[in-house]
Amino acid sequence: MITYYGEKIDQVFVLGVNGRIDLDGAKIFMEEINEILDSGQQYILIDFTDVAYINSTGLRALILVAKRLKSSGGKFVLAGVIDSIQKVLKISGLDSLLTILPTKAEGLASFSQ
Amino acid sequence: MTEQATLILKNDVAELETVLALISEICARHSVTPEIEYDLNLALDEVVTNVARHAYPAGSEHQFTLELTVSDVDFVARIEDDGVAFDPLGHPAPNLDVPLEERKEGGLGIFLVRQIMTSVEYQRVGGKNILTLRKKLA
Repeated sequence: MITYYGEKIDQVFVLGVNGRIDLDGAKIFMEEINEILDSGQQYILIDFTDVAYINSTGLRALILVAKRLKSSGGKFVLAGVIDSIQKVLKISGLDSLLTILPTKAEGLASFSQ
Repeated sequence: MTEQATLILKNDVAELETVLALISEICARHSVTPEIEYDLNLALDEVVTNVARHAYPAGSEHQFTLELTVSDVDFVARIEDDGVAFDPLGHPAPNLDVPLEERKEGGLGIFLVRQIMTSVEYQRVGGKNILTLRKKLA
C-alpha cells in the first residue's frame, strides 16, 4: 500500500510517494497522477525517497506518465530513487528514457535549467 | 542448513502477501542481503501474480503450488499450476532500444525475472506448467 503527499513548488508539482508500488500501489499511483495530469500540471517531480519497492506494474505506470507528459510538452523527473529500484530501472532501460536525479533539490533545480 | 517450504495458493493476487511474508522470514534466517531479497521479492511477485491473474478463467477458483528450497548458497522456487499452458520464456523480450514514444508499457515482468534470477526454466508436464527460478545466494 502507498501513501503520498502533493505540493506545488513554483511551477513544479511534487508528488511524494511512500510505500510499495506493487499491483495495488501502482493502481493508486496512477489514479493520483492522472488526477494531477488532468488538472493541467505539466512539470512533475516524483519524490521516490520513501519508495521501497517497484514491480513491472509500477514501471508500466512510470512509462505511461512519461509518455503523456512528453506528448504534451511537459517534464517529468524522478528523485531520490534507492539503489535497488535504480537497478530495476536500469535493467528495464528506463534509466535512459527518464530523468532521474539523486535528490528532490536537484530534481527541482533541473526544472529551471 | 537447507529448508523446504510448500505453499498451496489460491488464484487470488492477495495470496502474494503470504508468499512475501515467507520470503522475508527465509531471508532473515539465511542472512540474505537486502539486494538479493529485493530480487527474490520481485521475481516471486511477478510470477505468482501472473499465475493468479492469467492461468485460470476469471471467476473460477483454483489452487497452485509454490515450493521453496533454500540453502545458504541457493534459493530455488518451483511454481506449479494446472492452468492454461503458458511458456513465459517463449515471450519476446521488450525492445529497450527505442525512444520513449515507441516504448511499449507492458511486457516487463518476465523480462525482469529473467534478468535478476540466476536461471529460469519452464516445463509443461502432465498438463501442468512448472516454472523453476533459481538464485545464487553465495
